[in-house]
Amino acid sequence: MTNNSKGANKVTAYIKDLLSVNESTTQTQFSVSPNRPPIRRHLNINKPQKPETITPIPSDVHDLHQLLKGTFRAKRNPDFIIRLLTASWGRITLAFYESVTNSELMQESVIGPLLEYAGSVEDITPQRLADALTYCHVIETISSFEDAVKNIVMGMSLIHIEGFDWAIVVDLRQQQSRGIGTPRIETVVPGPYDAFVEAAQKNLSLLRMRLAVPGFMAESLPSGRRSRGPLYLLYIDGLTNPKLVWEMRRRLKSIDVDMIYNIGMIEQYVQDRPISLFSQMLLTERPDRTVAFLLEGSVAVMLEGSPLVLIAPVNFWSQLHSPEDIYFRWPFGTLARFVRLIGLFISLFLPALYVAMVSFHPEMIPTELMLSIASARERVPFPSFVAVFFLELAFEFIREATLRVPKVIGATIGIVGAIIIGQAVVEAGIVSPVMIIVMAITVLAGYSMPQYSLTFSLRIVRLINLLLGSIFGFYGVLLGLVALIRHAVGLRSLGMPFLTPVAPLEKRFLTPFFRKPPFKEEKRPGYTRPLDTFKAKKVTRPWDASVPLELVFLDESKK
Amino acid sequence: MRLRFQKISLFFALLTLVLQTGCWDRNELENLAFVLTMGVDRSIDNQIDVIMRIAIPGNVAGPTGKTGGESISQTTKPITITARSIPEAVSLAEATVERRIDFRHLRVLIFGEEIAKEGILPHLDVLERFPQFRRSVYVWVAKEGPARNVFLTAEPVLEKSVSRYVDDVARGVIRYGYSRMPTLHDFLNEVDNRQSDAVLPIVGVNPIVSSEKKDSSIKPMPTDKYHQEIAGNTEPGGKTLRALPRSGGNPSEFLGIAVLQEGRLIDKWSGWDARIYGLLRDSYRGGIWVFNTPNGNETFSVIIRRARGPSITVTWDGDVPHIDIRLFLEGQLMNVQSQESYVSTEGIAILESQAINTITKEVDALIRRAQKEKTDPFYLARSIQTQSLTMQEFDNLDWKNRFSNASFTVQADFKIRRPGLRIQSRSDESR
Amino acid sequence: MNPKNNLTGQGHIGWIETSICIGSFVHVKMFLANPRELCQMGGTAAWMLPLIGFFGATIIFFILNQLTTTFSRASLLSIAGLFWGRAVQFILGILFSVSFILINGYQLRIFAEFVLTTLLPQTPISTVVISMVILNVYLAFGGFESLSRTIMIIAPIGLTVLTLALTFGGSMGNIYNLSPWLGYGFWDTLGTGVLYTSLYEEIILFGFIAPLFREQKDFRRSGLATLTLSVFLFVFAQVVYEMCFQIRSAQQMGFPLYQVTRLIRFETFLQRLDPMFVFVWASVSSIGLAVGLYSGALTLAQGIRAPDFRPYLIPLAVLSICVAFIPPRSLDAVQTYSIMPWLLQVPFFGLPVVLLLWSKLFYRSGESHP
Repeated sequence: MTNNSKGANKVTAYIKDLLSVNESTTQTQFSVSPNRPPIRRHLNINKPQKPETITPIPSDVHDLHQLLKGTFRAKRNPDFIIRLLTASWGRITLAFYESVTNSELMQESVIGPLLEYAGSVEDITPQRLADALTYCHVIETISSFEDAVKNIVMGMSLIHIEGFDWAIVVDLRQQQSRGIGTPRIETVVPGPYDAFVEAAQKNLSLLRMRLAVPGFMAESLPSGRRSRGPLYLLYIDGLTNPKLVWEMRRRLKSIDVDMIYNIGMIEQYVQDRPISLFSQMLLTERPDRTVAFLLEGSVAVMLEGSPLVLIAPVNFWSQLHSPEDIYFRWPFGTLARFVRLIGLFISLFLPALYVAMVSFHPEMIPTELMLSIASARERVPFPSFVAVFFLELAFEFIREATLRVPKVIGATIGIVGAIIIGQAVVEAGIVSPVMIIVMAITVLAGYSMPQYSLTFSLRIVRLINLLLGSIFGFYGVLLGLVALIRHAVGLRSLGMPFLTPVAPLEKRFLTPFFRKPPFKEEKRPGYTRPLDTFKAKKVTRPWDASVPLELVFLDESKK
Repeated sequence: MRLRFQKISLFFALLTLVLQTGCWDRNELENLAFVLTMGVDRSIDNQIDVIMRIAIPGNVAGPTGKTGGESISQTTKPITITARSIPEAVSLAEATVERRIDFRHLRVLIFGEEIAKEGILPHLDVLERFPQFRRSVYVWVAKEGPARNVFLTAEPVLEKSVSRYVDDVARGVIRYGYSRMPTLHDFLNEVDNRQSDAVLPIVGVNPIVSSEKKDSSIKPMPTDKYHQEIAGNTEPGGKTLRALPRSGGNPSEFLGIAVLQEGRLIDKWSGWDARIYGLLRDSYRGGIWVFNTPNGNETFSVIIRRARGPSITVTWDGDVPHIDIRLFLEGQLMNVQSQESYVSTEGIAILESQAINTITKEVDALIRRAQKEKTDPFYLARSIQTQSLTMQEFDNLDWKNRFSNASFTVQADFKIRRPGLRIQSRSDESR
Repeated sequence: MNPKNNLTGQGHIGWIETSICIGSFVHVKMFLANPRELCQMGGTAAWMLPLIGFFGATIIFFILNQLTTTFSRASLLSIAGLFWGRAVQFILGILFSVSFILINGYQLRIFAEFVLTTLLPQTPISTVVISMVILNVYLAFGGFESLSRTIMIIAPIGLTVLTLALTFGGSMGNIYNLSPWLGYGFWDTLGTGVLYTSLYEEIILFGFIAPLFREQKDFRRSGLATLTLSVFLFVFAQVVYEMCFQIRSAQQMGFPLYQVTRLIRFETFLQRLDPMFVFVWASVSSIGLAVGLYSGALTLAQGIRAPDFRPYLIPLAVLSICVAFIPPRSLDAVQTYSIMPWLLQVPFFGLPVVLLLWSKLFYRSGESHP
């Protein structure tokens, strides 16, 4: 009885839930549009969740050593070093992790100057101490033990002088990183061949190498509770819309987790609609691309330990663009963009349309082709959509296998997969040869997308479309298409409509498709609402006067 | 948690509902029997014979290099069903053909002569109504006898595929102009027009060639026998309704048109008449014409193209209309059989006027023939239509009756624009 | 006080998007049986009827424009509420909502019949109707902004394909099929044309979404653009249809524009592309149907002064399905649907006129103007 009524209650609650919406949330959505009021729903990020305990740094060497050893479990952890130096003027404690500290630098820039310090001990101040350490650039004074611990785990070295309740930390870290290599995912034919690496300092150097503006900011933000490296929020002060910077900072600060392993995780945390199949932000490993987006008014996020940079806001079309488009002359760039647009459409709809045509609307296929498909299909026992599913699965396996297999034999897998499966499947009469062509074109079109993650999104959407197409034919594909577009126009990338400048329509709505010659584009794209709209002078080719030769003698005859 | 479970179960319920639908309209290609051409004949007992030519996909050149059928009799199979109407024939055919019969690739519908005389409109209703039939199919009429003969004898020279054969024929008609191939849509539009009559192409079966056909291959007969067969045929081919004097090739030939009034065949016009009809109806595009030279029985040939549409003006003399027809043609000289030196600025005008004379004479004859039968397939009333203001006015025109008493003048504008790569022939003067 | 006041200064809709969106709402009927009806009513002069109706609709729109200028783009129902009190607003809201749902339901039915005739002859009609309604609810759920942005993506393809189809179709036709030029006579044509102002009755929706516009200029521009776009497409489609079909055929043709595309044929490979055209048109129609549903929900919400229109979408969609299944035969549905707009244009065009008259004659803005 009670169960029953409970069930009934649940059902009514469920129906209520289905039929009603929450209080209208008109004020809470973030948007860059100047028409919308600023967000009022601020998280109180500055207030820490728990009151922090503050332990003063013990001035006694022995106490300090005890405390440090206890905190860092020095006995079981030989990597952690506490060293007591006895100089002529006092006793100095050094604490650091050996693995992340450059020992030569330590010797030259800290131990040497400290031992040679000639001032008196009584009037030593952090400032004077810092002055003595002429080789070190990053010096911070700390006064609590918690700060000391925090800095040491970050890889800094702690310097404490007996008898004082303060200490200084210096940066003697040595970056373990591979050298700057060539891009692996976003390869281009003409263009720079350097790519980001895992060390954020090197990445920043790659960016600063290109960008010479004082406003180029690399704000460091804490990342995770247990991860070391800071997050860098990159933007150009005075160009990027401050609303975007605030919003991104707010979102980054709200991530309160143990560890961020890679920038891809951040993408999921800060995205406007993480449930969507499409990524609304851009991950790139190319410094030139990052710079280009920064100059267009987007912000970027960099994480220590990740060779990719997260860029937002971006529109959907930029996922179809490759830096090549700009580096090549404009006709090739425009052509390439159109090819990719067609590729996008094919990758989304070709299998669905094929199935719809073959099993619902055979009138659309020319008679001879239709009969030849039919004759090929006579030996195939499965309906065509099953064959498409089968091939999709086979291609997935090939893709996964080529990723996982050791590189030495990786190349063969592709050939085996493509030829053997393709050939044998047809011979065995499981799918028809036309189907192989259709699927091959589809997969190739999918991989023509410059953004790697987009390929995956397209694949999933394609399967949904295929399902609809095999149930309702073209009508089903229509349902899928419209629903997909409706979904896409509802997306936002850091508050910017994802499909701008097409929907909503902006003035330069053709820019995603036609790449203009660079000398004709004086303005930055407006949808990020940069503070500085012009990126070039109106006339950048003042010397270009195309006059026919005849004008010379026509001019003479006038005289 | 519970809520999520409910949501998931709801989703699955919807999914299964959707998946159940999988078999409504999905028909894989190998489950369909495509009818490529169809014929309708008067059968015994007031029934009709419906001939359907069904494509056999397996015999169309396969994907793995295996050779396909050699002729259309191997790539297709005709079946004949006798029933009261086309839909009934279709439903009866389903009982014998293993696959579901599908008309979405139908190319042509052929009516026998007899049923065409009775009227074909009742049989076209299903084609207009049922979505599988398209208004872009061609409609042909057999010149003599039933359409079934056309089906049984047809043996394209080159094509193995029926649909391509039909398309090629339709394209050829525009090229040589001896017939007109309206689609069902064009035909119905003309039928619906009260001031005009419709035409359909007629398909002849050549008796000589069809006698050469044995077991779906054609063995041309020896020359002596051939000359015996064609003896007594004095008129040039295409001038009358007689079959062309020829041997080998396809027994079917496409010359001439059938004139239909309210869907009933009332007259058959020869290939030459069809060209004249084309000039008047503005469906003519080009073709080779052969004329006699002014002095003698030798001929010269010209490719005549339509320069622009004919201008037709109708003036009224009380109730009697007077029709002024002006044709605009241009051409290219193809040969001067007589070897006379006509190719000069003055001489060529002689050829032109000779051509004009012949054409106007033929136009004159054809219009008189139409007037006698009180039919106007040329749709000469179109100039009246564009000048009338209201539909009532135009509907009450009673054009066909008035047309039969109409007086008319024909003028033709013809210039031989190009002489070809040679200027003068090897005549005595030029030598 | 008024929940809509919060929205002022909030997001706005672009005028081009709005025009295309409402244009597609106006246009749903063109893909259905409308060209045939016009041919039955106007004969060969049927292509003039939308043109004549256009002038009437423009007058109505200027009345609407005047009204919204005076009341700083308040919704028609809010204005009615201001004049005559809440009860009238409530009744009017219900009335308009019901009208929109009636239109929507019948359109849905004919649309489904269209899909059944052209693409999926053996699929049960309920499946088509329900799947379309689910899509419509999804589309309408994001409000007008999402609707208009969605159509912005579809419109370039849709308009291109429509223009291509009509141009190809037109090249199959004969210009003399358009004559006799005045159809059943001048006065007859004019009278029918005025009656067919109802072709554009959907522009009343501008009166309800007026608060979404940023400026009056955008409102005016958008409305005129909608009307221009609609009249252009109506006339274009009608001309092509009449050119392709002899008038007597044209008066008896099921799903006219579909028949036009079925004629298209250029060489052997470029023929029988009609499922493709239907595909694109139906996607435009799906937006139009969604706008209909949205209008129903919006007017209901405005009428009963609800803070949100979204809760009404699903119940109204269910109602719309019910309406769709009222006519037993597709013939009845087409018949009713062809008469309905004539009746509905009385409230649809009458309300703005009455409101404007009232505001000029009886209403003094000092009283309770916000």
